[in-house]
Amino acid sequence: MPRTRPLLVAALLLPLTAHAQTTPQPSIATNSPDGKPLSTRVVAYNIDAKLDTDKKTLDAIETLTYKNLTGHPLTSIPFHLYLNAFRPRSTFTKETHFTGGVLDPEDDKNYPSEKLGSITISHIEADGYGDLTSAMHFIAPDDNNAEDHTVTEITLPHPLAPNDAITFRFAFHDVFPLSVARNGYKRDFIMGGQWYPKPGVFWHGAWNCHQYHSSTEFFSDFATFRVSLTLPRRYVVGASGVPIGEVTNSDNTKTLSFYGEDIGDFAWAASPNFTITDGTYLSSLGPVKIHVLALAAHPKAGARYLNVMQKTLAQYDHRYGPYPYKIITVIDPEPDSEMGGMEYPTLFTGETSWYDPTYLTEQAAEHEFGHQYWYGMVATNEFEDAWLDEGINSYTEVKVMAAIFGQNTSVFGRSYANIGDTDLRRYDYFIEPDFDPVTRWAFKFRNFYSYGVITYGKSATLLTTLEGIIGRDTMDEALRTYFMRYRFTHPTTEDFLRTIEEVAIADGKAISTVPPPPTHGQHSTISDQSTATSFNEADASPALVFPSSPPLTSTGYPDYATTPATNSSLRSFFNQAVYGTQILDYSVDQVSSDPAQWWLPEPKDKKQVQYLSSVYLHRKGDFVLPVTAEIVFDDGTRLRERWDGLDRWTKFTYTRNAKILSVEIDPDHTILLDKDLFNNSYVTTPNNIPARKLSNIWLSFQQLLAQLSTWIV
Amino acid sequence: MPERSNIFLHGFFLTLRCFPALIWAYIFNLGLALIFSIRLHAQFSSIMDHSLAAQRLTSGFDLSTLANTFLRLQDGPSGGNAGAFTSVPLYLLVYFFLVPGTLFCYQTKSPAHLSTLFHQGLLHFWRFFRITLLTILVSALILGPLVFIQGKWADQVDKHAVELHAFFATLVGYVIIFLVASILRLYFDLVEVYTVQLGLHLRHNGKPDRRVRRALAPAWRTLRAHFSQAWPVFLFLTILGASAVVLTARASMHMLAQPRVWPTFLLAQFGLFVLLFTRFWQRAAETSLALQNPTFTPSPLPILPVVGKVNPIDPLHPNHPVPAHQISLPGQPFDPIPNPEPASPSLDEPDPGVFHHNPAKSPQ
Repeated sequence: MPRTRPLLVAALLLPLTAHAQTTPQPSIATNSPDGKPLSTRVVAYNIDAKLDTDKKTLDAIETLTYKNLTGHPLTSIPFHLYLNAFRPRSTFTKETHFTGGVLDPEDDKNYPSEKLGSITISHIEADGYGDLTSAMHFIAPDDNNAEDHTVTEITLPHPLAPNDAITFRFAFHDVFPLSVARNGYKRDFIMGGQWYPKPGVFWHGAWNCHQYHSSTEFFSDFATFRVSLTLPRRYVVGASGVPIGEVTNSDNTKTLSFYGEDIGDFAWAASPNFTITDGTYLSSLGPVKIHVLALAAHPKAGARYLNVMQKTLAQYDHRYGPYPYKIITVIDPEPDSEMGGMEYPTLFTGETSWYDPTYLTEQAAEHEFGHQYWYGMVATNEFEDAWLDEGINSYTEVKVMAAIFGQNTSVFGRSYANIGDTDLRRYDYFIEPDFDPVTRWAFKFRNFYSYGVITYGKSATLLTTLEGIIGRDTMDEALRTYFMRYRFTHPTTEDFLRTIEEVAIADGKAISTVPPPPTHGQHSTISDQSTATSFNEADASPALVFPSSPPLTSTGYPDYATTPATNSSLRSFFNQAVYGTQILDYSVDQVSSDPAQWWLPEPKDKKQVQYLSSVYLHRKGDFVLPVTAEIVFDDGTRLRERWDGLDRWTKFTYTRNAKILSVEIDPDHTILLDKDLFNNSYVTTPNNIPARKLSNIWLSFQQLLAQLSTWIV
Repeated sequence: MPERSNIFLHGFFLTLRCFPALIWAYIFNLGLALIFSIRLHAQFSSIMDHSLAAQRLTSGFDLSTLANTFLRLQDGPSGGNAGAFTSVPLYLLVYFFLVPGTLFCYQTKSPAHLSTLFHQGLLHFWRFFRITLLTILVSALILGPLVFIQGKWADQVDKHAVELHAFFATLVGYVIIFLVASILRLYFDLVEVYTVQLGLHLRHNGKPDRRVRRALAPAWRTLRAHFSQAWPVFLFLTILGASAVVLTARASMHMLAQPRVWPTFLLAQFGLFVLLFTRFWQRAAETSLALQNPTFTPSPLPILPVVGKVNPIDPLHPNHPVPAHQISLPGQPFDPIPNPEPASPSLDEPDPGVFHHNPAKSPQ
């Protein structure tokens, strides 16, 4: 790795120090209503980088001013060096080997040289602290892996006092790998993500600077970025923030400058094959430029991205709040790279192909744009609360996709077949539903697969179910309140849940309640506790009453120690769906309609017969949730019954001059957390067309397979 | 020399002549699939027949419902659809019996009764089993390196081309592999045909010739000599069958949302039947080719038909003109028996085929 001489470094850094600042300035990259900063800008970056597109390397000088707003004197500052993840013995590689991940498994045993990536800091100094190069040492706060070099810590010779600022100057060298995960290169496309030294976040009284993991994303403070990138002229570049300058150099290169503010990260993408498609969306805060850089190999992608972005921006603006930035850049990455579908502030990578008859191209764009809200602005910790960005974003994704492309057709909608995004996410969840709660730290899931289906699938499904419980308007209002309240901050799971409770209570969709204090050593079972539900059920409408069911400990008793204080009737749902791994499964167990006077001969006029009808409902899962059942009689009568679900089963009986035609649990189809929707209903007259359709497909498939197999004879 | 005919058309007529063989193959294909779908159908029924959620598959085709159905099949200790593919190896086994019988009927013009098919299948089973092993071995040796090269080619393409261009560039490799595979298949088809043909001849020990290796060379000679005729026919019929399946599958797919199952069923079955028909047609065309290029050359002293051949000047034969010198003059009555009677044809040597009594020679 090249080492820069100190004098040369000083000469290079000198002009940059003038730009390093943390003081507010009029908005350049945002539509801030009053021109003031939207966030607490903790860091100011000034990076001057030169990209070698042949070697896929980058040399840069970074000036970083960190303002100590922690209220504590700081003696050390950790930095992310995430390009070092792409090494054979890194934690990232180890995790992908054992638990799966985005790394290509075939590369496990023999790490290919072209997939090696690295970031090397050749020099560090700080104003008033001198040369800190030797004060830098790698740490591994998550797993103590000494071979992992994705986090480095700089010990300061003397503490940084609260409200003081420190200006670092780094000289670093990047080697981009052939794309492994989220960044790197593929052919002549280069993605600069997590490519510069970035400090951790001082959060909840301590540094939060996790290593790079196979399944986790990122967490950082809000900042300003002024980045200059020098590269060959034939390249087209998309980057976070807004472009602020372009200088053509004599050596057939050009220097592009970008400025971003109130963002937590900076990424760029460069390719000579980009075609530009631009559009504008007029948001409630001002015009937003939609800047699409699509590959020439995807001639339809530009228009598709632009179309879905305009509709998505409108949906988000209307539902959750305004998009305050002046630009959103859509990058269409090289095919077969591992860089598609990744979010960065004001920039994201989509995912498409030359032939895509579905709406998956639009889904990817919508999802990644949603991260501008859930990660970009509501900057949750993606390591520890992944569900707050991926989960909430998956929920808003299914809502927005349904609004744009239809509830049951938002992924594929043809006259002969269809599938909606909501169902797709729900299906994901039930592939592996009960190993991890959504609140588990992202890199502590059972495996990468469980992380995916729970964080995306279950989160979207549980929030859709919650929407069914408290109503769509209340849910939208809760999300909007959450966004407006916590944008440009780092909220937690409880911040989110309490916001929902607050809005639901205000809308009369939930009731505030105070639980009995937990009695330690009380050996009550879950059902005992459910029976002893303390709040006054008479005060609440039946639809809002939930039995209390906190998560269980390993010994099978309610785990009050980790259960947050109950403060609404929704808390039981949260405890099971958010903090717990309970499976929800209700079924119609038995339906019958027999003559009440069964010993008498059946009269000719069937309407004169009085039937004794009975319905048995069964709670098969360990998730307790009040449910509604609709019973339809053959005289047209529809009855709705409410069951609290506390016991394992319940029975409804009717004596009427009509037989039961059908029984359906959750007739409004709001409880999507139910594992098996087929057993939620029972119709007395069977319809075998669905079974025959599937059997016919299976039959034909078997025949074809059998015929093809005979070609060896 | 045998009469030359168009193998495409001759093969078609051979297929029709032995149509029962095709019908039996289709019946086994459908029947076995039906039998081994019963359990799965029962599972589908138990999940969906009484469920309102399944109605999304009645007048529509919601893919999530389909996916959830398969997810539900995994529930319970006896879940899953293991065994649902059992029909495939069983059909393959049946096919081992049907193919030799069909080729036998093609070559001997015997009626394609099921008993004949299975009898010949039993007689030829181990021969065809050996041919199949050889086919797999040779295909692995030839196609394996090609697949490896294709992988390298795809990697090379991936470095320089993307999407549609890359697709077509990679497709070229797959097409080459397909063409080579088709030649291999054609050759081993001919080996099978010649194997059956060899089995029709008795060896010196009086037993049928069961040596597969003796069919390899004739098959190779025939393929080499008639490659330009046989390969296009084979390819055309392969593509015809595949096209039928693709088209009917596509049409069936577009009927999925209908609240009826039988149109989809019939269409899919039609496509599968055409696929089977074209395969039998291929076999028949190859048989036609082999009949025109038999393993055994005809005897140098052929036994010719008596009528019209032995004595071309037979005056009794109405089809032959009377010699000019025998035509009676006007006014003279026609004598059918000339006078004097012509001498009997004599041979230079005694005819070995005629028994001659030699009193001097003692009986053996």
